[in-house]
Amino acid sequence: MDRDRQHKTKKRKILKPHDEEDELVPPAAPSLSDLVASIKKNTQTQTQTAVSAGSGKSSGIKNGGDGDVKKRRKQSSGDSDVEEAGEGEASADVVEGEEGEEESKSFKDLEIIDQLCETLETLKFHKPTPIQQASIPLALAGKDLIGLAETGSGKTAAFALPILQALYHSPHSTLFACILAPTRELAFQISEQTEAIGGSLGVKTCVIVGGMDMMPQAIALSKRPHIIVATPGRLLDHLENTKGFSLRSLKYLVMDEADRLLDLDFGPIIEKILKVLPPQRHTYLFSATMTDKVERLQRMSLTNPVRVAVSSKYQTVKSLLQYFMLIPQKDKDTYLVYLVAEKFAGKTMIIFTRTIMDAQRISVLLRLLGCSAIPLHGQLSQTGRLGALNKFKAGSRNILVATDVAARGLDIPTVDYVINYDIAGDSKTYIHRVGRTARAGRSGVCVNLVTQYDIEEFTRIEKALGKKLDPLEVEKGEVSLLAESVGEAQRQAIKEIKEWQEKKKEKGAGRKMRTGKRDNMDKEEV
Amino acid sequence: MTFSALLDSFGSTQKKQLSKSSSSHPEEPLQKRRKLHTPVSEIPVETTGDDGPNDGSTPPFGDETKNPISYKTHFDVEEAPRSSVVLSTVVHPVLGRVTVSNPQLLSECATDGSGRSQPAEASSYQSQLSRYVRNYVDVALANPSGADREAFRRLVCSHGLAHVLTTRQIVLKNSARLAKRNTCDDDETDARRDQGFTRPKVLFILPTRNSCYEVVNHIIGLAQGHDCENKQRFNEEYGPGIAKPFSDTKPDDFKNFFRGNSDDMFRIGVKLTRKTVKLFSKFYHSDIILASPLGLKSVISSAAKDGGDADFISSIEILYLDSADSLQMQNWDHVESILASMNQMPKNAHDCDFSRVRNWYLSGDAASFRQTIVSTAFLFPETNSLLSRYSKNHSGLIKLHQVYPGELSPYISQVFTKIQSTNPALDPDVRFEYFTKTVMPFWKNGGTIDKGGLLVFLSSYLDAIRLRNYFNKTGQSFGDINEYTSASDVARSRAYFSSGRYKILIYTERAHYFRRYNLKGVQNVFLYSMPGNAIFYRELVGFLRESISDGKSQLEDSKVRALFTQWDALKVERIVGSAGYDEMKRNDGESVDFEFP
Repeated sequence: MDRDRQHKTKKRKILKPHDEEDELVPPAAPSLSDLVASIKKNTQTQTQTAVSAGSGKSSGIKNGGDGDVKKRRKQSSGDSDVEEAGEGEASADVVEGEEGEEESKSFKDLEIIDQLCETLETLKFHKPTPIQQASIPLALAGKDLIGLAETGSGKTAAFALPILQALYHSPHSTLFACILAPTRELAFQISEQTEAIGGSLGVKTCVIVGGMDMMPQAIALSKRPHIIVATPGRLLDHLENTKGFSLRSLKYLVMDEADRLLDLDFGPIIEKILKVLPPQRHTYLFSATMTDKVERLQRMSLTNPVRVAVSSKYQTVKSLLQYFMLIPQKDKDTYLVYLVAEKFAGKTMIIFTRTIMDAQRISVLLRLLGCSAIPLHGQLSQTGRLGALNKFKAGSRNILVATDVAARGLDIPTVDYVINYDIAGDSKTYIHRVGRTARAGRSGVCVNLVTQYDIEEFTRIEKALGKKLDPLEVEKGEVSLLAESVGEAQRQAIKEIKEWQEKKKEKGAGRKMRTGKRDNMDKEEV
Repeated sequence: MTFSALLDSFGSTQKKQLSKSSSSHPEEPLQKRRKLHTPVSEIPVETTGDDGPNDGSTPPFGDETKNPISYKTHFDVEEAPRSSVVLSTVVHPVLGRVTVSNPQLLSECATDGSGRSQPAEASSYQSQLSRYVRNYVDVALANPSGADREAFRRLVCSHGLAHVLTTRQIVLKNSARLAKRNTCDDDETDARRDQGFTRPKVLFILPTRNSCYEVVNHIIGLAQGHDCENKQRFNEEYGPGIAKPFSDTKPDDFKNFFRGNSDDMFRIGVKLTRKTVKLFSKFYHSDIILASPLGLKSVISSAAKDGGDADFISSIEILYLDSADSLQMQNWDHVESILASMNQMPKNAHDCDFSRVRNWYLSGDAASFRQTIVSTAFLFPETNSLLSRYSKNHSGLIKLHQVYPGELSPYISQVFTKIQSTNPALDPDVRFEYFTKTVMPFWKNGGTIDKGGLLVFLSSYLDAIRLRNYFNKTGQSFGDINEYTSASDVARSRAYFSSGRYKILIYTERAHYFRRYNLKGVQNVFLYSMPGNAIFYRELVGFLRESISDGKSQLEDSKVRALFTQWDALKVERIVGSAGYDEMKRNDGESVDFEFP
C-alpha cells in the first residue's frame, strides 16, 4: 500500500510537464497548414546551410530499411516538427535533422577542418550523426542554436566541434567557451569527450563542479583554460568569490540538457550567470524536451536562434527489443536473480531501481549470489560515483545497479541489457533508461519487471511508446528453484544494508553541515 | 682576515648613499658594475617600455634598494629551467673554499672580479658575496666570526627590503595600468602576473628575540623617511630591557648570542606601505615575517588540527636562516618542518587575485624560485642535508666554507680513535658497544676511574641517557649534567665532581652551549662524541689546562681521548684542522688511534 501511494505522488508531480512534452510543437505554433507551407519556404531558403546538411542515415539506425525510412519521414512531417523562422517571440528557425536524406555526408563535407577530422577518424567517429549534420553548419555560420535531441545522439560533438574549430582560428584566446551541464558526471564526461576531440589542438579544459575543493579549481581557472565545463552552482560561486576570475572573454556558451538544468532549480543561478556574460557570444542550448521553462531560458539567453530537432517524440530505436514480465511483487527479487544469474549471465547490464535503498540492497544481494554488481546512486560521494562508473566502464563489474541518476547523459557504450526493476515513473524516464542500450547501431534488450501494482503505469508507458511490448517467456520451474537461496541472501543483504546505513549516518552528519546548499544542487536528486 | 671590517665599510657606504639618494636618484656604484657585467641582451629589454608615468611615484627609499635587473632575470621566467645539480667543491682565489651547484656561478663571478680593477682582494670578496645574494642565488655562509655574520645579516636585510619594495612597486604599477585599461577596453588577455598567492615574501628565521630586535631596527634604519607603527610595543617585547650582566668567565660568543632578550618563542609580521613600516601586522597582510622556528612551527601545527594553515608561507621568495648552528641547538626538527611546509599550494584563497598570480606559482613551482640564505658559524650534516633537499633555486647554490686551522692543544696528549660505522643510524650502537667493551675495561684496569676527575662529554642527550643508565647498572659513582638538569642538581654534581666524590661527570654539548659551565677538577676528558662547535673543544681542553696549572693534575696524566666515526667528518675537521684531517681520512683500518701532538 505504501508503495502505491508513493507512485501516485510521483506521478502527479511529473504529469504536468509530461503532457506538454508529448508534443514537440511549441505552444505558440501557427496552424498546421501554415507550417507545411513554411517548411517548403524554409527548405528553399536554408537549403545550403541547414536542411541539406541534415542528411545521411543515422548511424544509430543503420539497419533500418528503405521502407522504414519512408515511413519515418511521413510520420515526422505529420508531426510537423518543423517551424519557420520569423516574427514573434516564440519563433525560431527550425531545422530538421531527419534521417533518411539521400546523400550521406562526412565531417569534411560539414567544413570541419582537417585536424579535427583526423582526430574524429581515430576516435572512430566516421559519419556525423543527424544532430551533428544539422547543427554544425549552422553553428559554423555563427548562429545561435537550440538543439532538441536525446542523449546518445552525438550532442556533445555537435557543440564541441564548432567551438573547437573557432578556437583553432583564434588560438590565443583563453576562457573561450563555457559548457553548463546539470550533473557532475555529465560534466566530467563532456570534458573528457571535448578533450579527446580537441586533443590534436591541445585544448585545455577544466571541470568546475560542486563537492570538490574550491582552491584547486580556482588555480585551474587562473591557468586560463580554453573551455570550462561546469555545473551552474559552483560556477557562480567562483564568479562571485574567486578574485580575478571573470568570463568577460567568453565567446561560446552551451547549456546542455537545459530541461534538466531547470528541473534541478538552476534557473535563478543561470540567470545570474547570464548577467555577467558578455552579450556578444554564441549560445547553444540543448534539451531533450521543449518545456515552458526551457522556452523562457531560450528567450533570455539566445538571439535569433535556429532550432534543430532530430528525432521525433518518444521513439526507441529499432534494434532495441523490449519485453515485460508480469510477476508477483513478492517474487520480484527471485525473478531478477533469475534474469541476471541464469538467463543473461555474464552480460553487461544496468538495473534501474526507483530508490537508493533498493539500488544498494540489490547490488549487495547480487554480490552475495556471486554476480559482480556495483551500485550507483546519489548517496555515494562524488568520488564513489565516479569510481563506480569507471569500474563498470572498465568492465571489472558487469552489472550496474542504478537509480535514475545514471539514466541520463552517461555514455556507456557496451550495455547489452537494461532491466527495469522498478518500472519507470514516466515515459520520458523510460526513454532515457532504455537509451543506455542499443546505442550506436548495436542491438539491445530491455526487460521490465511489472508487478500487480505497476500495471496501470506500465500501460501508460506502452501508450506513450505507441506499441505493445511482448512478454518474456521464462521457465517458472527454474525460477522457483532459486527461491530458497535468494531468500537467504535477502536476509543477509538487509543486514548489511542496515550496517551501511548506520555508517552513513555517522559520516554524513558532519559533512552536511559544512557544504553549502547551492554547492550540492548539482547533485542528483533521487 | 679583514673581511668583517670590509663588510662593515660596505654597510657604511650604503648608509651614506641612502642619505644622499633621498633627494635625487644617483646611480649606485654596485648597480653600475652589475650593468657592466650582465649579459648585454638583458639590460635594454627590461628597461625600455616599462618607464611610464611611474617615475614620480617611486617611494623615498634609496636607489640601492631596487634591483630590477636581477629581479627580472630571476622571477620573470615562465617556468624554472631544470638543470642537473652536481655539487662541486673548489678553492676559489677570492672566496676561498666554496661548494657550488653550477660551476658557471663561479666563472660569472670571476669575470666580475677581473673586469673591474678592485682595490683589494677582500673588497672583491664582499662585493661578490653581495652580488650572489642580490642575484637571488642560494647562499650558505659558514663563518665562525660573529662580526662577519652580523655584517652578512645586514646585507640580507637590505636585500630583503629591496626585494619587497621592487615587488610592491611592480604590483602597484600593474594595478594602475590594469585600472586604466579596464576603463578603455576590456581586452584583458594580457593579464599582468606579478605576485604570489599570499603577500608575505620574505621570511627571517632567527634564534632569539634580540636578533629579531636587531634585524627589525636595521630594516627601519634602511627604510628612511618611513614612520614606524607599534615601535613602542616592539621595544617593550623585543628590546633588551634591564640587561643582566654576564659573568666575566663566559666566553664572547656566548655573551654575543645570549645578550638582550634571548627568548626563542616569537613571531612578528612587518608590513611596508608607502609611508610607514608597520610592525605586528597580520601575517596575511605582512611583507616580511620574522620568527623563531618554535614560534612559526606553533602557528603552522596548531592550525594543523583544523585543516592546517601554512598558506602564509606559500609565497615566500626569500628565506633567511640566521645562525643555523644556534637553531640546531634549539630544535632542528622545527626548521625541517617549516621548510617542508613552505611554498606549498595554499588551501584557501585568502582573497588572492588569481589573474595576477605568476604562472609558476600556479603550476606549483614556487620552491624553485625561492632564494634560501643560510648563515651559520659552521656547517653540519643537518644544514647540508637541508640544503640538498630544499634548495631548489633555479639560480643555483653556493656554499662558502672555511679552511680550519684546528683547535688541537700543543701540550696535552690527545688520542682520537676512529671506529668503523657503516650506517649513521647505527652509529649510537657502535659507539656504545665500543665504549662498554673496550673503553670501560681499559679504564678499570688502568685505574683511570679510581683516579677521578673523568669528564665524559657527549653531543647527544639520548647517548647521555643511555650512558647514565649503564653507569647506574654497573654501580659507578658519577654525576650528570645535561640540558634538563635542575640548577641545584648541577651545583651538587659540580661540587662533588671537583671534590672527587664523583669520579665521573657526564656532560652534554647542549648543557655546555646554554650554560658554559667552568668545570673544576677535570683530570681526563673523554669525548664519547665530538662537539659540533670547535670552540667547545678548546674549552674542554681548557678545563684540563686549568687543573694542571692549579696543581690538581699532572700534565703526563691528563689526557683527552675521543671517539669518532666517518660520519663525524665535519666535526673532526674543525678540531684537528683541515690539513690534518686530510691525512686522517686516508687511514681506514678497523679502529685506528690518532695521537696528537
